[in-house]
Amino acid sequence: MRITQSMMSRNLMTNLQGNYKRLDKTQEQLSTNRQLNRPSDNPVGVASALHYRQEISSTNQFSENAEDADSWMQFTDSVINEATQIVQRLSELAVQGGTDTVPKDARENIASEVGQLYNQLVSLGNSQFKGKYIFNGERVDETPFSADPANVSYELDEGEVEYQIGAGITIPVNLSGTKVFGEFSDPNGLFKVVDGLKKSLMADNTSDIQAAISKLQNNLQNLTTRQSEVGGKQNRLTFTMSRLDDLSINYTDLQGKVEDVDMAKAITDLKTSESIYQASLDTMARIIRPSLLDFLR
Amino acid sequence: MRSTFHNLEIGKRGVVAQQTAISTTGQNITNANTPGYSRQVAKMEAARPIEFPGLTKSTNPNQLGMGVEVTSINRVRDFLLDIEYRNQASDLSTWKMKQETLGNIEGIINEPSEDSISTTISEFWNAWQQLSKNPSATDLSARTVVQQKALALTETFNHMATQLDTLGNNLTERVNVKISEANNYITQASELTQMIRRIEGLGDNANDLRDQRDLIVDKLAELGNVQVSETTDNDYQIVFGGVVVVDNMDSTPFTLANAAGLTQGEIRGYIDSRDVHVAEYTKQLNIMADTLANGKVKVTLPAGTIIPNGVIIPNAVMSANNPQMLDQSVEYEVNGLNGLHKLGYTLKNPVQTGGDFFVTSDGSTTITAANIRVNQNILDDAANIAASMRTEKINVNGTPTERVLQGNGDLALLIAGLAERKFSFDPLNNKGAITDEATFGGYMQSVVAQLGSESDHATKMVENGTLLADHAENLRQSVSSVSLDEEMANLIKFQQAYSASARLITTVDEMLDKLINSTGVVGR
Repeated sequence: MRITQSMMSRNLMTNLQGNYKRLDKTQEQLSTNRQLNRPSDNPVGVASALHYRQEISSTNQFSENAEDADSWMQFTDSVINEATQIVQRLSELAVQGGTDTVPKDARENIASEVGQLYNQLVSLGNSQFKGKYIFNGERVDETPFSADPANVSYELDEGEVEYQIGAGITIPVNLSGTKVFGEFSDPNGLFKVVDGLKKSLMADNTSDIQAAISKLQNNLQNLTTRQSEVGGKQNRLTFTMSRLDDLSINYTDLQGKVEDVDMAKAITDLKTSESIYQASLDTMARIIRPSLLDFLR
Repeated sequence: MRSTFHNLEIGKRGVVAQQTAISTTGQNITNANTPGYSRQVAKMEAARPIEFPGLTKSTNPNQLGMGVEVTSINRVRDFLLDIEYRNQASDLSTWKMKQETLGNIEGIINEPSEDSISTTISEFWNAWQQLSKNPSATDLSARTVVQQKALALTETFNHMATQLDTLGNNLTERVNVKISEANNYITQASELTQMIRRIEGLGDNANDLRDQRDLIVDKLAELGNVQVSETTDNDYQIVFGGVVVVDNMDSTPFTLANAAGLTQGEIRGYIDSRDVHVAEYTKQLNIMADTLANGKVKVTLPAGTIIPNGVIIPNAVMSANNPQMLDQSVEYEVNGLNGLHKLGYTLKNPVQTGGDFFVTSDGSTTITAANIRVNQNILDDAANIAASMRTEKINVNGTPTERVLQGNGDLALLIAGLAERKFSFDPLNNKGAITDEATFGGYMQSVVAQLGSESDHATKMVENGTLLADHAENLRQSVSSVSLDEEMANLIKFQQAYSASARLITTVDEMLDKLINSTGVVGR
C-alpha cells in the first residue's frame, strides 16, 4: 500500500483522538468519583443502581417509621408505668382505709386523695403523643374520656394505627384504651373501681373498701400485662431497626460497587492513557517531519 | 534523408514535455493538502515515428523517432473506492446523528441523579408513608409534604416531556437545514458538470473540476445515500435518496417528500432520531405517567374499611352491622393512584371521598408526561388529600352525620405500598410498553437500561463505522493522495531529463556550428 504524508497525519490524528477520548473518560470518572455517569456507561449496572437507590430510600423510610413507632411505644410505656404507680398507691390507700379502726374524717381525707388520683388517671387516659390521643384508636383527634369516665358513658375506637416497617409489614403502634382502662359497661374497669373506692370511703363501707383491694390488684395485673405487650412490640421494633440498618448498609455497599469509581483502577487507567497520549504526540512530532525534501539540499 | 533540424526538434519536444511534467509535479506538491485533490500524472508517449523516406515504401525496419509528447494529464483515482468510501461515510453519519440524539435523551432522562423521575417517585412514596403516620388534622405538615412531592414528580414529568419535545423540534429544524445543504451541493454538482462538459468537449481533461465535483458528492454522501453513474460518453447522473437529482446539466431539488428514499446519512439519522428514539422515550414517559395515575393495580383493602357509596367490591365480605364495612380484608383491582385515592376519605366534613389525584392540564382524557398535573383542589388545600379509609356515623344535634376517622392512615399506607405493587402498564399490549406488568421502579429501570443499551450500541456503531470509513478513505488516499517523497523523486527525474534534452539541443547546435562555420572553408 502506498502511504502518503496526508494519510499519515490523518491516521495519526484519528489515533490521537481515540487516545484523548480515553483520557477524557478516565478523567471524568475521577473528577465525578463515579464510574456510572450516564446509562450508556453500563446499561445493566444503571438498572441495578436505580434499584439499589430505591431500596435505600425505602429502607431509610422504614427505619424512620420504626423509630417513630418506637418513640410512640416508649411514651405509652411511661404512661402505663405512671398508671401502675397510681394503682399501687390506690391499693395502699384502700388497705389503709379498709382497716376498721380508721376514723371517719381520716377516711374522708383518704377519699379526697383517691379523688385526686382518679383525676390523674383520667388525664393519663387522655394522654397525647405529638397532638394525638393515644388511647382512642384511630379517633386520635378526639378526647377519649370525659372528666368523670366512671359515670359518663364513653365508647373508644378500637382501630389500630399501623406504621409500615418493611415491604408489606406493618406494626400497630397504639394500645387499645379499653384494654388498659376497661369498657364503660365493665364494673371491674379501672375508673369504675377507683370511683367505687372513693364512694365506699365516703360511705364508710369497710367491706366494699376491702372488696376494692382485689379489684385494684386485678387492674394492676392487667396494666403489667399491657406493659409487657408494649415491651414485646418494642423488642420486635429493635430487631427490625437493626435489620433495616444492616439492609441499608448492604444496599449502600452494593450501590457503591456499581456506581463508585475504583480509585486504584481509575488512576492506573489515567496514567496509562496519559502516557499513551504523550507517546502518540511524540511519535507524531517525529514521524511527520522527515521527507525526501529534508535530504535534498 | 532526415531533416537537418530533426534532432533540434526532438530536443525541443523533450524540453517541453519534461517542463509539462515538472508543472504537473508542482501542481501535485502545492495541492498536497487540498481536500478532494487527486494527484495528476502527465502521460508521456513517444511521438508517432515517421518512416525513413525512400524511393518506394520502405521495407526497412528502421523508423525514426520523433521525440516525446505529453498526450494527456490524468487524475489517478479509483472509482470503486469512491463508492466504498461514500457508502461507509453515509452509514457512519447515520449512527453519529443517532448517537448524538441518544446522548441528549440520556441527559434529559438524567439517571442516575438526585432529580430524576426515580428519585422523585421514591420521595413521593416516602411522603405517603409520612402521611400514613400523621393523617389527622393535628399535623398538616405530612400532607404538605405529599402535596409538594407530588408537585415535584409531575414537574419532573412535564420538564422531561418539554425537553424531549424541544429535542424533536430541533431535529426537524436540522432535517430542513440538511436538505437545503444537500440542495446546495446538488446545484453545485450540476454547475460543475456543465463546466466539465464544456472543457472536455474540447478534448481536455477537466481534472480539477472533476475533483471538486467528486468532493461535493462525498459531502452529499454524508447527508444521504448517493449513487453516481457516468458513461463513457460523459453522461453524468447523481441519484440521492433514490431520486435523480443531477442529470447532466439539469438538477432537481431534493424535498422532504422524498425523504423515505433515504436509507442512510445524516438526514436519515436525524429523522430516525426524532421518529424512533425521541418518539420512543416520549411514549415511555407517557406510559409511565398514565400508568401511575390510571394503570390497573391490585391492592389489599384491610378489614374495617368503609367502602364509599356506589363502589362495589367483588368477593367482599361485609360486616353484619354495617353493610358498607369490610369484615375481612379483600384484594381489589383499582385504576392507578387515582382509582385508589377515590376509595378514601379526605379531612373534610361532612365526609368526602378523594377525587382524582392526578389530572390533565389541558382537559384531555388521557394523561401524558406533558399534561400530568396534581389536582388543583389538592394544591389549594392539602386537606383534600384522602388518607383515611374509615368513617363513623354520629349524631350531631339529633341529625345522624357521617364523619371521617382522622387517625386512620390506611389509604396513605396503601398508596405508599404501591411502590411494591405491580402495575399493569400495557393491558392490551398495543401501547408499546417495555413490559406488561412491573413495579413502577422496575419499569423505570427497564426504560433506562434500554436507553443505555441503545446509546451504547450507537456509540459502538460509530466507533466501528469510523474504522471502516477510515479504512476506505485510506485505500482511496493510498491511490490518489500526493506523496511528497514521490513528487520530489519525480521532480529530480524530470529535471534531469529536462537538462539532458537541453544538452541535446546544445549538441545539435554544436554540430550545426561545425557544419556551417567550420566546413567549406578550404583555401580561405
